[in-house]
Amino acid sequence: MPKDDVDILLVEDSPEDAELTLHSLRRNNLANRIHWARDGEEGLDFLFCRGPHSSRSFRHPPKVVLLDLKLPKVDGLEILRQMKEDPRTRPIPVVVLTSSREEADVVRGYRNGANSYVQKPVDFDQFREAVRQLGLYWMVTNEPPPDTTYSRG
Amino acid sequence: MKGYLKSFVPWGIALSLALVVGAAALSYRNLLEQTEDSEWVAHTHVVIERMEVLRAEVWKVENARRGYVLTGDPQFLARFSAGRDEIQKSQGALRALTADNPVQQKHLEELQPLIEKRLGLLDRSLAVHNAKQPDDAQQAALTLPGADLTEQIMAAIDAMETQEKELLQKRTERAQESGRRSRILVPVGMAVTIVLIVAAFVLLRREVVERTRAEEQVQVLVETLEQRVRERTAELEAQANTQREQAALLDLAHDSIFVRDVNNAIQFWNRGAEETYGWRKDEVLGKVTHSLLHTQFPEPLPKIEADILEHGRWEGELVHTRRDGSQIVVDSRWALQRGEDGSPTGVLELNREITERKRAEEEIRTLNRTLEHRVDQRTSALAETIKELEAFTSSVAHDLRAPLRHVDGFGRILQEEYAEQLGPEGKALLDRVRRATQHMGELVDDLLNLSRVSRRELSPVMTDLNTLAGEVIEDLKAGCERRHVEFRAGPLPFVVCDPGLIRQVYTNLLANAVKFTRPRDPAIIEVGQSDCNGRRALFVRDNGVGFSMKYADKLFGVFQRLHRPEDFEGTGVGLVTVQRIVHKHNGRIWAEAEVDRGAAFYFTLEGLEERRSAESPRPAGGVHAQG
Repeated sequence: MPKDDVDILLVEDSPEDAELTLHSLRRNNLANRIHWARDGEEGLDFLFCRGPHSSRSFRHPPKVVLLDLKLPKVDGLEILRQMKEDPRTRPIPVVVLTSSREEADVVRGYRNGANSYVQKPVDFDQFREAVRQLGLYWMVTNEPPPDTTYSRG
Repeated sequence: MKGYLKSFVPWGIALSLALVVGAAALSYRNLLEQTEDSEWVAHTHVVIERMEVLRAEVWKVENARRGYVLTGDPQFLARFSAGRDEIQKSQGALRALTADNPVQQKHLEELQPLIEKRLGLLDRSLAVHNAKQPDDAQQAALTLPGADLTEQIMAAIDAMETQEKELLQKRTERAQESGRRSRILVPVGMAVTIVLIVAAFVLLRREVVERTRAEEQVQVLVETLEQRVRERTAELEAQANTQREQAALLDLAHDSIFVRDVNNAIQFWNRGAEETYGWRKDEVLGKVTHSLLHTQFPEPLPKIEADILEHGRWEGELVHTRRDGSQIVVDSRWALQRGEDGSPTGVLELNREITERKRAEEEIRTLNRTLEHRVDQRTSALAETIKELEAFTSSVAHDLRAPLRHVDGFGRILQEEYAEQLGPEGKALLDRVRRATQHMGELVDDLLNLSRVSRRELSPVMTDLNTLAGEVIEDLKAGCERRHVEFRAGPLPFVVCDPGLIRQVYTNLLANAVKFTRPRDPAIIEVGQSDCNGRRALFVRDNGVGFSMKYADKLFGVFQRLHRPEDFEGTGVGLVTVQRIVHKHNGRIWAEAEVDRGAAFYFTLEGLEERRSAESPRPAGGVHAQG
């Protein structure tokens, strides 16, 4: 497995949220290979293997993307749109992290694009439980798409 | 008069005439015959007389010769000559008289030579005498044949007389026969005539009687008719009077009223119409309304005419042009007049001028439009402001949520990973930090929810509240498994509402009920519907701790709470949210409660009243949850 292989891409601007998420993932032994993108632009660079991430290959996409909606520069829905428009990134599962039920409503409107969504609760225990289940589901249960899907990159 | 009698009359008259004429003709012919017969009788007497005269003449002539011969007196000679002429004359007369009788003519022809011969003998005797010769012998020789001749003449005359007398006899008989016939015929004819006259009289009399009777009947009929004519005339006059009165009444009306016939020619034109249009009655009668008033119709005239024929009336607004050329708008009502046979005879048109009203209406419309426009502007400005405010609220709540999450999250990590360093007191303090954080998180979430509810567009559908409330109850039962809670669901109606929001109403109200019945065993929670002052309301009732109605006005205020947080947790936003949803459904919400005796929340929804018949009955007792 090459060293730039990443299991989870976390796109999150808030360091606190990122740290709490990483902490939760770590506690569930899921944080081995996580890349944290701090804004939308970096998230896109990572996904589309450009800029600082031009050395990456579409052949090794993350197994899941945890995507915050409210992001500086490029927001989460735009990232989702671009991912789903491009056949190279379309198969990557996306879990949207919403900070309110209102945002959850918005995501429901993009249901075709997002594979799942999780509302970040104020109660950290609940959040951690949600992240644990998500991580397990996407990392363990869910079979990632076969490599051939990415061959065009 | 009867039919057969009628046809009998000409024939009767003809027959009568024939009878009378026949009788008269017969009588007349008989009379003619009788007259003729009488004439013939007289004629025969004349003939006989003339024969006697002839005989006498013959004797007279012989006597004259004798006298002359004896006396020589010339007077005898004159007599002889006269007698001789008379004989000739008588002979001629006889010949003429018996011209019709060949037998007598023959006798006369035989007689004539005898007479001539005798006269010749006499002449010779006279000549002998005149010659003064011895004449006795000669005279004697002449006298003897003369006497024979005379004898023959007399015999001939006798024969003729006999003949004539036979004729006389026959003719007299015939005359007598005619007379007898006359005596029969005349009375018979008269009798026939009398009979006919009597018959005619009888018939005439009968006819007269019948005619009189018929005339009487005709007279009665004529009188009846006249009576009816008088009555009808009186009726018509009364009607005309009524109509005149009505027309006078119509003149009192301010509305213009006119009547036009099927060709739209004006038949009646009241004073109101004169005042409205400026045309006098005598100027418009017979004119066609639509061209006189330049009527503008709101729909095609043929359609209007079809309408009025079908329904008998029509109403609409028309534009008319007055005599002075100005246009007016009228509220026009037409009524179809029908004749006794049901066919249309005309149209009564009643027009009220509404030009001013139309203008006012137009003005009102303009004002309304302006107003609406301003309201729209104001509304959209307000909506904009509200939207901004809500966006602000949402963003604030949003932004507040993140740090809370972080405080809680890091607190939790601290609690777990540094528990030993903190010690029990530190852990307890950290617990309180986290509880406060979580409460604030709930507050923020509830606020966000309230804001969401307020902004949400209603998506109303027909909803079965029984199912909806039942599902909420099922969800809540899971949270009170360790308690004894009895849910009672009465029959609920079907209502057109936003099911998501109404679910929230039931969730909040029922969750409150569960919460405030915590000290009760058993807790009894009811949902149902009831009549409140004639209006139907849905309710959620419990036997919980209740509250004092003193504070009822604070129930629906944001963050207002009637209980201490250590007794009953809560944010004070739930009921506000319920109220907001009920108001969005054009409903009303109120509460009835008493301290320690439970509370009941009533609410109405738009469309609840109309849906009464759609409710589905549900057995009493409802759903029970027992812990």
